[in-house]
Amino acid sequence: MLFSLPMLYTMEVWWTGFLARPLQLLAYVGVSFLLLLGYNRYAGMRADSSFLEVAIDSIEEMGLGFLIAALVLWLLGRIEAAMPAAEIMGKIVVEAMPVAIGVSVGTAQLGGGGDDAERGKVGDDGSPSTQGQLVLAFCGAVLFAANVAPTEEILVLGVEASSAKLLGLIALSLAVGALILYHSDFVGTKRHVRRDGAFWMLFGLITSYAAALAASAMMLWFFRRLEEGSMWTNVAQIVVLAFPAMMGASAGRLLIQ
Amino acid sequence: MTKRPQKNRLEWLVFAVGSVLVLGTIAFLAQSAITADPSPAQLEITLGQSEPRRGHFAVPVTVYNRGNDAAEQVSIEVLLKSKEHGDERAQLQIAFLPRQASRLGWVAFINDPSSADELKSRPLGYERP
Repeated sequence: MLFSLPMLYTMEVWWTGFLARPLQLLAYVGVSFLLLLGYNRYAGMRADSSFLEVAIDSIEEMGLGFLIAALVLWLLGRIEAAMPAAEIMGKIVVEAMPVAIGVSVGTAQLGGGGDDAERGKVGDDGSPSTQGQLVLAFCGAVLFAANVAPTEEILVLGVEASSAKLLGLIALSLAVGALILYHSDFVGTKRHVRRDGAFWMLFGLITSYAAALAASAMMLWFFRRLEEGSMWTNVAQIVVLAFPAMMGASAGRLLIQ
Repeated sequence: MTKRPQKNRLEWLVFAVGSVLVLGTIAFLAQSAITADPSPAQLEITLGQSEPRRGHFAVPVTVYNRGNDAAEQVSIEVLLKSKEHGDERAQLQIAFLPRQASRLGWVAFINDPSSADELKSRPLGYERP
């Protein structure tokens, strides 16, 4: 709830509920389920959990997401019995996914069970698994940038941005990401981030930013921000959104595992 | 062999409800994806009985979208034709009209629509979101 409340209170998100086509919503549910699986596999549960346990937990969280989203939307007066089924379902589906991811992160972070050291997958030699960290960087990027991705502001910023300032924004995203991952003493940086050698540091930084860019493009596509603009506006929007996404992929990633 | 996950009854119940909701949603979306033809927005307007208010008359306007595409910035005009008082026009704007949905609004007239010769309505225009 904590993570998804801004989305439940944003009108562009409700609009997407009835503007998105059924196939788009299906893809959205599919990607969200993959994110849940990924998060639960690499951060949410104990390292010895089987795939079946991870899948069962993900379905539970999705079900809770549907129930909570439906209840809150109804209490906020966003869904009513008189509306057509497609509109009601669309709104619930769009809101249920961030709620489900919020439930998953909330359970992992605030729940009591399990020793912290037992959680998360690490590589055989005790170093952080690259695959796992990439999945978590993507989850972090989605979780933190999803709150601003649906808003009109991203479009305004994308349309008005100059190329020099966009390059500046890319540089700032990379610099802040590098600072968080390699020069801060945030909890978890030592355990989750490979700091052995320039290659792995550059590798980690570039893959984190790539995850942020991919997450931004995916969210903007879903919120129908990439349909009418020119290629330039689309890329500009992705870069603008990739800044908060990079915060999620670096600092956010450390917070949620 | 995979070990059986350890869960209590409540957790299994949540899992069962979750599975029903997830599968139900996927089935619903898949069915709409297969059956819904991509027809553009089709607006249909019905006017209700006028209600006298302070200093004006309010006419309820229900706008339906029978198409499978949403309409944005829908603009509706209602024309009151009267030989006695002359013609009077009123407009109504609707921000969003989802596919297969309806919205209710009111337009106001100075003259009593119930004594008018004719009350006509038409969409002025709308955007595709």
